[in-house]
Formats: sequence, C-alpha cells, structure tokens
Amino acid sequence: MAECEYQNSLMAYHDGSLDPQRSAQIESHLAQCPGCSAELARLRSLSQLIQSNVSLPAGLSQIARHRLHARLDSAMDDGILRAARFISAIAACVVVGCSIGLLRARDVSAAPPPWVDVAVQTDTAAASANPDASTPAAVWYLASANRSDESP
Amino acid sequence: LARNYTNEVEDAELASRAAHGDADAFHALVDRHADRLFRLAVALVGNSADAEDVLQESLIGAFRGLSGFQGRSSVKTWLTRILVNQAAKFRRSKRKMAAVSEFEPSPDKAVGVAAKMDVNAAISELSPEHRQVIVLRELENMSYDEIAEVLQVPQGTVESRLHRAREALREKLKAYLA
Repeated sequence: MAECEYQNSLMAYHDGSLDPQRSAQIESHLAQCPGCSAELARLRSLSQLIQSNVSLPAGLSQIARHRLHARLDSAMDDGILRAARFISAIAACVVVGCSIGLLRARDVSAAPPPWVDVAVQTDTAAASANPDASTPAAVWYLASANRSDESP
Repeated sequence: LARNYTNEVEDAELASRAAHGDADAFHALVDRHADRLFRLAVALVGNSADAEDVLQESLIGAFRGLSGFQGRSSVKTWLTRILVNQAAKFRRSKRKMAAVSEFEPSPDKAVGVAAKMDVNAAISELSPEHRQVIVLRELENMSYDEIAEVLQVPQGTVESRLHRAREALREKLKAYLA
C-alpha cells in the first residue's frame, strides 16, 4: 500500500500535538482512509496496553518521605558545614597575612626612630656656634659626659 | 511534615527563597513534587528502592544547583530533567533493571500478570533514549514540547525517538496487539 500523506501526522494526532486545524483535517481524512484508521487504532492499542499494564506507585510512603526530608536536611547541613569551613579557611588566611604584615612592620621599626634624624638636623644647624655640635646629639652627650668625668 | 508554605506560593518563588538559604522553602518544593518524581523514577529505574535513591540524589543535586536555576523553564521541568538525568546515570552505573524490575503484578488472572511482566520487560529493554520518551509521553502524559524541554533536544528528535520506541514496543508486544 502506498504511504498516505497523512501517515506521518498520525502519531502527533494521537498524542494531541497538532493544532486544531490540522487535527480537523486528519479527522475528516480518517473517515475515508482505512489504512490511516488502522494505523491510528494500532497506536491507541499500544498506548492502552502500556498504560493499563505498567503499575506505578501512587507516591512516596510516609516513611520514605520522612527519609527523603531527613537526607535533604543532612545534605543542607553538610553544605552549611562546607561553607563554614571555607569561611574559616579564609579567616585563617587573613590572620596569617596580617601577622606577616605586622612582623615586617616591626623589622622596619627596628631602624632609628624619626626623632633621631630630627636631633641630628638640629645639631647640624647649631654646628657653626659650637664645633662639638657637629656630631649627633647622642655622641655629643657621651663626649660631654666623659669630659665632666675627667675634670677633677 | 509541617512546612511554612501554603500552595499559594508559586514554585518559582519557593525556588528563589530556597536559593537564598530558606530550607523550609526547599522542603515545601520537595513536598509538592516528590510523588510525581518518585513515580517517574520507578518507571525509569524499575523498582522503588532504587527509585528512592535516585529521587534523593536528584533532589540533593537540585538543592546544590539552585543558584544556577535561571527560571527559563518551569521548576517542574527543571526537576524532571534532573531526575531523568540521574536515572540515566544510575542505570549506566548499575545496569540491573532487568534483574530487579518489580512492577508488581496485580492479583489479576494469569494472562494479566504475564501481560504486565511482558510490557514492563519490553519497556525496560528499550534503549535509554527510547525508554525516556515512552515514560514521559505514555505515563507522564507530557506534550512533545515538555519532553523536548526536559531532554533538551529538538521537538523533531522527540517525535523520531517516540516513533522508533513505539515500533520497537510493537514488535516486542505483538502477541498482545490485535
């Protein structure tokens, strides 16, 4: 038998996927085409056979539903725990980073404090008036102390 | 299980709240879809115990993927897609449906029991792609559009897979078809 031009649309018609206009065309064709009518009957028989013989449960039992929610709670807790671990790791990195920064700052602070420079500058300015003042303030102080120790 | 949300809250709203850390919203979403997804899982993997595992893994996956849910498809379609993929993954790893297919025989006469066993065996022997379209169309009553969205394939692919799946079933079940 030559394939009817409507044959390819029969499955979509059977599954309710055609627009109303195309469905109406198929319906009027079916009345005149025994081949397409027989094919549609076969499609319907198969669907009926499947739907009436596959017995699926109505849904989850109460126990299974409880298990499902408990498992989801546990997965959510795991997620929160993972997030907490992640945040803790970041916090630890920040603390370590800050500590290293502070240690480096302490190394820099081991150099002479700024007031020493100020004292040297002040001494240099006063050097013309007093030759002893050309040395840094601390050395000048020690030298003065020695001189006073040597005097009777 | 008492949850704080009524049916008036839309699925998308629940998904959005769950994505922002509202656990109750996710539980409410699960309560709405669990039965349907469980039935689908049983149809795809063949028995309740495995279906329960598949459902749990699917919903955990959905929870973890909430932030990626864009709302381009409905929550129902999104969850169905996750479950279908999880069931396919499960079957690939276990490959044991034929051995444990449980589709319980009802207390019909012997010929009825044989038909049930044969129909279920025929579906379980289909390729994964063919089984998915048969289950979604014949048992979930989804439209071609919905199936295409769930499987993320063109509608034409859905139609051709469905056609081939039906041809295969017809061949296997010809004894029951006039």
